[in-house]
Amino acid sequence: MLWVPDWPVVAAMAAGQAEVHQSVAVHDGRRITAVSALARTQGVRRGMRRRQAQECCPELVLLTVDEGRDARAFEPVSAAAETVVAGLEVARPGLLLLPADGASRFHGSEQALAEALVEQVAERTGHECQVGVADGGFAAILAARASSVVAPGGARAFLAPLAVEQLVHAAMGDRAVAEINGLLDVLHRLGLRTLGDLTALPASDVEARFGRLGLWAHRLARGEDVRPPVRRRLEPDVEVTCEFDPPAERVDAAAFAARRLAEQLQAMLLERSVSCGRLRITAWTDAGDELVRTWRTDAGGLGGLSPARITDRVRWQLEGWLSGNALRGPGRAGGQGGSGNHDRSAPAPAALVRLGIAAEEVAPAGAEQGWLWGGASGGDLRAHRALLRVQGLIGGDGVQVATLQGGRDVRDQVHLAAWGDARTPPRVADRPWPGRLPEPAPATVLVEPAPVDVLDALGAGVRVDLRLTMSAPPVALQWRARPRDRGQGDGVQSGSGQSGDDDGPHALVAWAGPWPMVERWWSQAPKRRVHLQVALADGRALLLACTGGEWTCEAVYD
Amino acid sequence: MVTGSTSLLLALVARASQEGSWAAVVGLPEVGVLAAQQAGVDLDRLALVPCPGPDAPTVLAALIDGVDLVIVGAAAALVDSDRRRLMARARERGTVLLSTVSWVGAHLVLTAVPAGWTGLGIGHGHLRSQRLTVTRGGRGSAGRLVRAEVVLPVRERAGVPTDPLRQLPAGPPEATPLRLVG
Repeated sequence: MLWVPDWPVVAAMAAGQAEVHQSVAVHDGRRITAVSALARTQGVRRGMRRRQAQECCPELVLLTVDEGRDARAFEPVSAAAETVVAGLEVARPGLLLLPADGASRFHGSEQALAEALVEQVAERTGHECQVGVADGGFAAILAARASSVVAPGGARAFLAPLAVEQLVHAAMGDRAVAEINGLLDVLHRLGLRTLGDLTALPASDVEARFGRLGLWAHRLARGEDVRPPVRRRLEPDVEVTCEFDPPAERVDAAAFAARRLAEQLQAMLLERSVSCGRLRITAWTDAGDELVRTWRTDAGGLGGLSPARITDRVRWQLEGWLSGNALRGPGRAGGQGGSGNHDRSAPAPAALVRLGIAAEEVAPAGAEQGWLWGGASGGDLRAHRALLRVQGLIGGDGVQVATLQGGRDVRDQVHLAAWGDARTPPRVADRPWPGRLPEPAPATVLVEPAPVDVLDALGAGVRVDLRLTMSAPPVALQWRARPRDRGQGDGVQSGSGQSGDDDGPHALVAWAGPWPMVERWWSQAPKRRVHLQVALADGRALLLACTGGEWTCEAVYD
Repeated sequence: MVTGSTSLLLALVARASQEGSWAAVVGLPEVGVLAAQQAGVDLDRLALVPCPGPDAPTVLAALIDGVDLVIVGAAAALVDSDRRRLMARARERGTVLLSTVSWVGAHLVLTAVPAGWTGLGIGHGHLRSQRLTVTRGGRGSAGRLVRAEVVLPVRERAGVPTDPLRQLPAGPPEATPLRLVG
């Protein structure tokens, strides 16, 4: 068990939300959920109310809970631990469960393993962590908190003298903590102070009195696990290779070997019950070149990937390579990740010395399966993979998903979140929201509102007074030139039909409004604005807004 | 390629989205998500990439591999050779590419010209529906010019879609399952 103390606080510091020298606490809106060591010395404790914590430590920096941040920041730690021990389980951000038996034999002793883990995590991520070794998961958690190693079979003896309150550390969620606190309260009043007291009772009696939760506590106190750990298993790429001796110069000789390789690969995939998304063909020539080409397998995973088809693909590829085209140039551009720069001028066809086929993007079979008609299922999975790849290219915030939320304005009603983040909108959409703009919504919402002048019949600007009367009916609309109009505005203007800022006033054929919208009038920064829908003579319709006497074009109905 | 009307674009996407397809909007930061939802696009299966930056061709290629419907806007910087490569990739993967800016070699070009709104009076009412004159052009069998009047938004009453097309001389541009739009 590997434990990083106060992980939410450490993660927030790693994300740059607080400085190391400040005392920091993380709260969920009501209670403190994690405290930094510095704050703890000032008397701030987990479970305190926010007000109480600020009383103890006035300069306390309070941060809100962000599970996404914790989990994201913990990934490097688990990757660092994975360099020492394979197959770990992330119990929660800050707590890693890893199998110690094999690894400790490899490192010599459990003590040496613990040292290696602490060193690797500190070296690769800079976080301090504590490691404990024990038989059961619960004993290991407590051992990690004490940074100790419990001998095999000694878990029960290790746990017996500890107070029952330690059971809280095995809870993996807020609700579980509340339930366990209730149980602990009863145990305490019954005089069961230590875990040894609890295990001295027969399990059946504990279950009869306390139910499922009591049985859970009894099992943990005995040093047993409730469930086997769910270990993270990386699906390795499946790869087969063969050597040619003497080097294969003809396609059919290589294709014959490819057939055998394909059957071998198919058998290996079947044996592991996985399918693959990509097929990588690698060939090594006697000139020392390495030729790589990746093919996407058809939708439907393994179904469309019989040995015969793999062989065909290898054969097509080899024909190009062996005839020397690939080495000479243009055909090579299609190869992905091939060693790109050496002898393009080599005219002689190359002979193969080694051929390999690898299955990449390995996923459990059955996630993608052909329908009776049409394409394959697993479209969601494919889309998720594609979006994750795009996120890897342009950053996490580059890909967004939108949800609707409550609000009145066109912009307020849309909540954008990065792909993969929790997307609970801050305002509920199914409330009335009086004063919302009527349907249909504008199809183009300008990124930045464009300033306009709304003119009346005399050519003077239209004003809206406090009683929502307009100074005169609007008759024309004039785009006002923006200082940096040729920037991103270009696409917007062309999207709305034509670039409108240079020509004269547009006549309005119809208009409706003004529709007032006042939000948060009780606060320091109230939002007051008036909306106007107008239709231009050329068939376009716009949504205008007036804030403090300034008219802007918010959106285009196109 | 669909130019002149974002609503028309959204109506096209909505149909595919309702049948379970994924859609990605690349380089179109000003698309009205609310309008998309009202047109019938399932927001759970819609991804937005507002600013793909200089990697636009790579991003689009990655999306074509996994997403059924890719909408390309003006903010995606592409040159014609990128477009040709993306089209070839889309053809291979069975993905539909929709562009709101001019696209050389597009198979089907829908050009919408606004023809007016209903529902809005002088100082009363509100916008209800829009009439568009849509011209269809393109390559191959789509090369014959077809002009039709489309009323948006498409309102479905009791499961029967009222025909949004009027005075159409030939195949409706909207109701046919589109295979490939450049």
